[in-house]
Amino acid sequence: MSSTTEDILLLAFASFGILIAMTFVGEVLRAREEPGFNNPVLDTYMTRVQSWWGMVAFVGAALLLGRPGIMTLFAFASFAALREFLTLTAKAQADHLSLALGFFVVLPLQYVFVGLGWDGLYAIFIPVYAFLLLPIVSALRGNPDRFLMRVAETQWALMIAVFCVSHVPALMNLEIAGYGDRALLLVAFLVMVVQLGDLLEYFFGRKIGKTRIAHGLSPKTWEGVLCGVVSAMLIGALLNWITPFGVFGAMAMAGVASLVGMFGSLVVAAIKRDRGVKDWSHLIPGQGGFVDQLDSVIFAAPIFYHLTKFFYT
Amino acid sequence: MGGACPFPNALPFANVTLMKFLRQFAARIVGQSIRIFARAITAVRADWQGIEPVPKQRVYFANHTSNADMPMIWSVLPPALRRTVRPVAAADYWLKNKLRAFVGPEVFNCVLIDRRPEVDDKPMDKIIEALDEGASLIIFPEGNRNMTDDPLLPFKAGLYNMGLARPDVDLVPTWVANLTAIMPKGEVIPLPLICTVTFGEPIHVQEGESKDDFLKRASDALVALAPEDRT
Repeated sequence: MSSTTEDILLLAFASFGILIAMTFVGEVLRAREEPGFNNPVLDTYMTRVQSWWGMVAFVGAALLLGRPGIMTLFAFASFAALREFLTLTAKAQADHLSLALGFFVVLPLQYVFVGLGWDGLYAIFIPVYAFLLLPIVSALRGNPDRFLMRVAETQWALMIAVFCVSHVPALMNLEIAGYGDRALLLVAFLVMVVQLGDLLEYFFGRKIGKTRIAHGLSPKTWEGVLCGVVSAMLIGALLNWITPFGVFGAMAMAGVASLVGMFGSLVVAAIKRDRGVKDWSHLIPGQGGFVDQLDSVIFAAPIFYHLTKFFYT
Repeated sequence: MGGACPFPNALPFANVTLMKFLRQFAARIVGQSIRIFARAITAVRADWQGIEPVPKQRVYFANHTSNADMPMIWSVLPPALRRTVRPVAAADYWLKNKLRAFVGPEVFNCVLIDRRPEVDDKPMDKIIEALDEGASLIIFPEGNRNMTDDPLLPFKAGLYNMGLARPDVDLVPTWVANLTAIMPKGEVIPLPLICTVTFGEPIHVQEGESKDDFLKRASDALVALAPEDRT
């Protein structure tokens, strides 16, 4: 067994350990409830823990399968996220072909380019080629009604759901001296610090949060975000052995990723509020949709990718 | 209907039973495939707003924008409800070729209505007969697919007549959202957008209510389920 595989198994068992503890706490609380009494907070908590079990299992299995596993998992996540996003955006029948191209050509090609490691191309394919060519396809059908809104929202959907999400598996392409095939572990590092930071931000926000960051948008508080980012930095320091960053580097990278992710989910909350929905979809029980679950990872991924590339390759 | 017989000399009785079994088996496979396909592409889901998904006799009346409306409603019903539901559909569409003649009557168990004006098919008799056998129904009271920008076309009288003839049956407004964006008329490739089927509170024909009043009320109850368009 290679050392990378051993490290993945260790991370998986540690995650399962945390989940067992969380499930145990939930079951104890449930057993102590009066019979016939339903505690909605506890029910939500348990549904979420169950979804976390599924997610840890999926990401763990994908990591063990290596490159193809991670590529497939995130390509599927992109598809689900794009479907959720485009369900809510402005569109007309004139956009039908450009939207179909988005789903069936742009998305697969982006993942092919990431898979082939063509970093010059996957960095500009959606921001340049899709950005310029898809509006042409829409314009050819000749419906000017809300045109800018339609093409802009389609481009936003592709950037968020395809471009940004694909930067998580793109981490595997980074060639870091002395790190070798362990670049796979950067995926685990990013996902773990951002998601655990979110979870602790939510927890501390509920416990000690007072000052709302954006009224009418999200219940996030400055206190919660501060505690969340500090927790993410500590988790980053604990996980520094799977990264090429060193202890302080890992803390800094984890802090930046977590901070960008938290403000990213504020942006996503603004979009949801505007469209009058609570969740992007219903596909992950207790969490809403893929975009709800991934919003912070989506914002953190490209920045984490570029900072790593800039400082460590 | 039956296809070419593979064993022309076998006993006719055994052959008929075998063919029937194979057809039923094939119908189940095709039905499951349609459901899985609908779920994989549109992540279709049911939103039970006004009623619970329990096995009670109902007439689900829905908006009609696409030929995929009926399979979507059928796909989101839980198995126990799906087994007793019969979509009311046009014979000219479902008997057009051999494949449709298999899928319509055998997979979906449709109540087929002949729409040709020269044939007096007595559609209401067939519908009442299906209700008296205990089936629930899926109907599209607009009669045709809605190609206009209005949310609904005026309803035909059928829904009122059913409600009057069998007042105990729940008439359930059922809104299928997003199918126009998934597959607008004239397009070839369906878009994988999320489709939601919303079931509202059941209505009944009230005593002394006129046909027009009832149809207006039914139509309003259905439109009220449409998601707000904020784009």
